[in-house]
Amino acid sequence: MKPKKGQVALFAVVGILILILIGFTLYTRTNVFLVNPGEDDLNAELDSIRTHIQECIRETADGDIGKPIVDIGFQGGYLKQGADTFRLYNDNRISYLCYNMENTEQCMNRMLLKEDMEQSIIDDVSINIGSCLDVQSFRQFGGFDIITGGMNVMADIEKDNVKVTLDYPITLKSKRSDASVSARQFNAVINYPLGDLYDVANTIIDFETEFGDFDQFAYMLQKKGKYIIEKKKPYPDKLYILSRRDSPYVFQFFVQGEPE
Amino acid sequence: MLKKIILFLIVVAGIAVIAAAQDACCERTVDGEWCQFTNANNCDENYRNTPVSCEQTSFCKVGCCYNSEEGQCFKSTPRSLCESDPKNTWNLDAACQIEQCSKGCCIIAGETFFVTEARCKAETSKYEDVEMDFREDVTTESACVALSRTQEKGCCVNGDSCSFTAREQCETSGAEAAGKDGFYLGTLCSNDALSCDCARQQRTGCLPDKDDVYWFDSCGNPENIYDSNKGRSYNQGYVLSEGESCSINGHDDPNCGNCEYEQGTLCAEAGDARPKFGDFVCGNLQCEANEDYSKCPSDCTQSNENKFDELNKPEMIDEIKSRGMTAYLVSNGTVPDMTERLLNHQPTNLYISVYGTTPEMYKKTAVPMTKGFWENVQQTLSMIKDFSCNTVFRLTLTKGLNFTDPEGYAKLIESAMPKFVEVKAFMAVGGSRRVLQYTDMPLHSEIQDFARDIEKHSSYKIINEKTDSRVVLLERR
Repeated sequence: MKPKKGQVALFAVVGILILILIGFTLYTRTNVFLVNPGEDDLNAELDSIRTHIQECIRETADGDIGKPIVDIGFQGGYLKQGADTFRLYNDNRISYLCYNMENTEQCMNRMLLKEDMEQSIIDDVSINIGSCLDVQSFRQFGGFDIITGGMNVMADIEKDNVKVTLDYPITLKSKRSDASVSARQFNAVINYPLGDLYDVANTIIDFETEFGDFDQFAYMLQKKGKYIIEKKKPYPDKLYILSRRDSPYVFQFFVQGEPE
Repeated sequence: MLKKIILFLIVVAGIAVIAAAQDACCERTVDGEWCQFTNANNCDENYRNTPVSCEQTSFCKVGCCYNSEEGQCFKSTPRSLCESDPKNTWNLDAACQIEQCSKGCCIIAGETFFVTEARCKAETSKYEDVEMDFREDVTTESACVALSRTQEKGCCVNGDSCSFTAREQCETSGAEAAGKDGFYLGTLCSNDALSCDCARQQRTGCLPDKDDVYWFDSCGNPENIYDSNKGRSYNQGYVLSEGESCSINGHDDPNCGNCEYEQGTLCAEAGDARPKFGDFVCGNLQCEANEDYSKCPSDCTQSNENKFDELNKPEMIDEIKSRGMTAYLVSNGTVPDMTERLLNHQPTNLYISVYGTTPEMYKKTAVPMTKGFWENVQQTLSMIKDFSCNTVFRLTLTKGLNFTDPEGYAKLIESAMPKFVEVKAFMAVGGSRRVLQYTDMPLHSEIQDFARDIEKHSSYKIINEKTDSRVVLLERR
């Protein structure tokens, strides 16, 4: 009698396990693997993709993958520097923004444009963004297709921040129904006052080109201590290191001097 | 002979080496740099180069470079570098003493910038509702900075006399050291650190050109905005901004004098109201609701009776449209009777501003002056679908107030069924800056996210956006 009881118990346990397995399969088919996703499911997936893209933009613009905005500040507005356009100082290749003019105090403006810096950021992010961007990986469990368009990076240097935008049309389309959702622009705002310090740099160059010097103390006082301007004189050049009291971001550049 | 040939070859080789190492001004280098004095080998052979310094050449001569897009001027800029961009124009005057480059003081939101007029225009255009204020008579940066400083308020101590005034009206220029003559920025004249015989918070009253009720000291100097919590209002004898002051709870608030003209309150004699201290309160500007006009500030009576009566008629819209113009009407929807009348006088676009998804949120954000505001707004919203004109459900979102609950907004939108939904960020411009900060403005990316949430929970889809204005537009599918 006892062995029979044991058999019944065994069958019952096996039966329960089979039921649980069937239930689990049905659950994952509909919920985890999104066999037939509706618009809400697709929107949820799109949100995850959006977060992934935004994180990737940030990683590329100011993270482990790249720091073009920080580098631009350290290198006087240029990421790629041609021969004789910079001076190595404390391991940084700091650009000359004003070249020496022989036998005069004044210097020749190299005219750094905001749009050139924006282009440098765009080029750098465009090259690196592929190393973290992988929207197709979101498709592996889903019952939907991810249709993507061409990728276009944009950068906008504002007074208090730099906005990096990725124009990347993405459509998630259900494989079994007409449900689909789309998104196009993704961005990350990097809170570095590059635009503001660029304006200060231009003011300094204005003075250097016209008078051959700049009184940083008077300027700092005039601006009520908002900016910190250090002027160093590694012979024969002048190095300006600019920052704002409310931010660790640094913009530095050289004004070329004339050797005696 | 052989010796001569060898000598000749050595000389030629020497010249070649020297020539190869010679520096020159390259109009453009192989690295893409313009006007660089460098080794001649670096010069791009498709451009000019001369073995003299760049400023001596015709192509890299320095002058003024004007960028019309940014309104920016670059002094002592080489010609070829400047002209490499079609948006730039080059001028021989290296110091940029040309009309386009003359700088003045640009005032945006109380901040001053010493820039060109074109730059001022470009910067101002980034902000909605900000009018360009460019002072071309201010010709130096320090004068521009001083322009903002002259209006700063503080106590002017001059011998026995103490007056709370603007810096520019203070004639003494002594050092700002406690107890001495001079201008004390942001300090009340009753502050114990000063040598003024003025006792704090003796009475309350109104100030010309100001909306609020103020405390006054015994010398007659205004202090901070009236707050029945005297200690908080006194702020240890220093100026307290409007934003940091108390908030009123409707008109006739006995405890707070931080009036909001835009919300219909203005400093006025208390009348029947009973402030905890003094004889002034934030009076009600909505005189129609009051029979007692004496309680209203004088300009209120005038505004209701004369200025707005004609404009308040919906026939005004017919008049506008009959002249071939478009009529945009923006309403907070708190007067449903008027909304109903508008059905027979429909504007081109009807905007209904909605400030919250619950009565509590709405009240906190819009501080309505009328009872039953929530029911009134709901009644107006229920009429939106009866309009044939463009109807817009307008959200002005402010952090910490109504920038929350997109699902709730989606429900309201679904029940009202407007043609469009405008999701926009509060902008810290105009009078709003007195009570809200720049940090209260949602970023455009946050507005985008909010609009997407509404899109997710409604039958509306995003069709357009404008980054500068931080606004996203949705349309009914």
